[in-house]
Amino acid sequence: MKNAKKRWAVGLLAGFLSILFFCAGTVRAVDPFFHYRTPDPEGEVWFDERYQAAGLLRSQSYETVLMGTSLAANYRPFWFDVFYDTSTVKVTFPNGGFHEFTQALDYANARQDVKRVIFGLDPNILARPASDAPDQLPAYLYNDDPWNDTEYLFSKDVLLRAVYAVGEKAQGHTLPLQDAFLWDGTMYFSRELALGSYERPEIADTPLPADAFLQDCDKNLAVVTSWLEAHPNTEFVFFLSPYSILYWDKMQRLGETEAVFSLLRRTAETLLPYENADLQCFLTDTDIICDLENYADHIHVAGRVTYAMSQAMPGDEYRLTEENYRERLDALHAFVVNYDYEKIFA
Amino acid sequence: MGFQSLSFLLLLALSAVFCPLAAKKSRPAGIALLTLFSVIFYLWGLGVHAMLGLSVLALGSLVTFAAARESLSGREKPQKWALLMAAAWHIAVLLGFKYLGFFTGGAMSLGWAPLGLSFFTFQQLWFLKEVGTGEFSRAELRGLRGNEFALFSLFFPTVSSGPILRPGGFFPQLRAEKFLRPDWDDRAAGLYAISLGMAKKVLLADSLGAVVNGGYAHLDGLTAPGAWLVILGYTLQLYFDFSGYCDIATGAARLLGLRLPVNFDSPYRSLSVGEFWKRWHITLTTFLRECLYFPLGGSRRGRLRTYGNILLVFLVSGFWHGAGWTFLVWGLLHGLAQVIERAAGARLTRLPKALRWTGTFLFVNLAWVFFRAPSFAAAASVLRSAFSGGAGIPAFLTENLLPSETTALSALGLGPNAGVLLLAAVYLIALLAALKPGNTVRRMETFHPTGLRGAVCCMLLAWAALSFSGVTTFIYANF
Repeated sequence: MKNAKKRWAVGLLAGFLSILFFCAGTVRAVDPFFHYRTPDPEGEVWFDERYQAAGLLRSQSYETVLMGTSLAANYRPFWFDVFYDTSTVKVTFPNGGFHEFTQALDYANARQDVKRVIFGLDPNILARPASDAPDQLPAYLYNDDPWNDTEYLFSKDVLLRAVYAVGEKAQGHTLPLQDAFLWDGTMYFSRELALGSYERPEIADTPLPADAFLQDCDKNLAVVTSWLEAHPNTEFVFFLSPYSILYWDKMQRLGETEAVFSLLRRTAETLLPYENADLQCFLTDTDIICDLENYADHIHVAGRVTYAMSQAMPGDEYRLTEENYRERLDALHAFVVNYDYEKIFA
Repeated sequence: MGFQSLSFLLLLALSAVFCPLAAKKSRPAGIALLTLFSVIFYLWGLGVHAMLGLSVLALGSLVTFAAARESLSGREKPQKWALLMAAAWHIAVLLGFKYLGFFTGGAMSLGWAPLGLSFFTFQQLWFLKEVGTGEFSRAELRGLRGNEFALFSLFFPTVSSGPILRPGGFFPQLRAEKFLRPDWDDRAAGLYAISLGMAKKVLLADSLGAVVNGGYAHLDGLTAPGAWLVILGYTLQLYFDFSGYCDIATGAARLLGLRLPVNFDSPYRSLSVGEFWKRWHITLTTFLRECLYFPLGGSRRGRLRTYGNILLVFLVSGFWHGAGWTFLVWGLLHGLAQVIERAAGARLTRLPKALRWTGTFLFVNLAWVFFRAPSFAAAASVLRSAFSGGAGIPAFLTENLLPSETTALSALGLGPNAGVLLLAAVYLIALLAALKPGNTVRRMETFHPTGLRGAVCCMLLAWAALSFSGVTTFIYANF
């Protein structure tokens, strides 16, 4: 019996260690999150921004980081290479939280000399309480500590993704680096689709107070200004993506329009005094926002528009300054308040 | 360091190899090395407060040991005073760290507490009580060494969440033949318990926790079936979380040649609330009975006094579990249930077993709502949904349940049903495992090594270990 128990215990340990090292070996060989290798620019399997961005920040050579939520995802990095004469890496986190962006920015600065950050400043995340923001970046990928690599190597979740990546590659389901995490090709943009995915809310009984979002907005902007102060030699280009007229219909019906404009004014007042901050506001382009053919839903915009925006970013056309921001936001306010929304649904 | 980490498995492996080697040279060397591993366990990865927490525990141990030594002085008055002062010290430290915020309405709070402080405090109080009453004899006390007492206080399998060790059950083992000389019986049984414990914690408790957390995050959207899944889910989560921990602790101790007391004995098979407390967290119940209920007079001073003592004991139990009114209500409910059972006497035992089991299980489930809910409003919301909510199972209950496994099942063609199928599988397995007679600690004694059992244990242990990334902490580590 003693020998049987010895054989049993040793066999269990041997089997356990074999499974663990099989997992680690497979993950190390496939490396689906590019922790040990440089991704093939011609074709990789892209499936998770939060897990794969660390590998991009580590392996790519760049001066510019394009960062933001899903609203910053539909851009090809080389557009900025051309329009800003730079080299760009794209790091976007769907519904990302400011703490996550800070982690990624710190990691980028630790790896490279970052000269420019182009950041999609989404009013929805500015208005969000910090406690509601996701904080899901795997810390073990965003540092160079080899000891915590065990969390990567000995993980069934990563193993499953390694198997998935091998399967997708075998079937030729890969995309070049420039097309990673684009919506074009997986999503379609048309008036019909934008209206189809839009649920028009009931009209609220009482509108939100104008300062409803300001407390959370100030906290979020404090994180943004901490970046500006920590990296005075880095140019930060913040852009406000053009939310469609459906977004403003929603704000009007929910009684949130005044609160959103207070947030936008506060954002401009807070960021514009910084010399290394540039604020590009595409929200005010009424030709784009009223043309629902550009949209997949009430905010996500087509590649032809994001291309035009990236082309316009280095210029002055959409730039907010301390002199013009009130006038431009007031003009947008007058437009969205007086717009005849019923004609959209007629 | 948490049990659910590769670091713990490595530390356990190192201690299981090197402590017996050190003990071969001399037993004190083995004890010293085991204490060192315990200190590493306590300090590893617990951040800025770990060293302070360890200092609080070390100072507390010193206070207890010094008071116990003083009791050997032969002078009766100083002996009692020393023991009382030491007990007061432990209670004051526990109140200061864990209940200051509650008593001052949040105006004052230290904001942290040493890991395992509640368990440590009760264990030290138990020791002081046994020294004071003479249950821990003067001869035993005279032979007790400082290094042995340090190990009693910091022993890594039990320091964070128990079981609460009784002095008479621990110290004699340090002088027994098996201590740090485990044979293959011990090793096989220990690995068996660790495998099952890891599976309980990582695969069952954390999966159920994903459902429960999803429910409490979307209280407004809970339907009646959804609310019952959340209620039952937490009942099972808490059991597998804590009994899984105890299995791992027991297995780890066995690898070092030590046996820990049974802490769970199929509690959800109980036919009354009184029986439930004889099967749930047995070492806590025993401590409260011997160190609070009996000194208060137990059941010897009339019916009303007995009922009062029961209520007080369960209020203390509720408060020990958490500094909040919801915990007090949970304790009060359990106290009241036992008072009613006592008052009903034999009439209850004449009821059909199925009815008694159903009533007890339902009561325990509903009482746990107050234990889990962050506020009375949240508890009321869950209970309201359970009795008057709509139909259907909300999608948010399954969205974080075993995400990788759901993805894999979806890839196999199960599509959108994968989440619901996994939900059903997890609840079914959890219910069967919770209601299965016998417990792991007892099964360790009659353990037979078979190939199938080895393969199952190996798969469970590997699956759990490969799931450590992103796994939550043990619920009872918060107490």
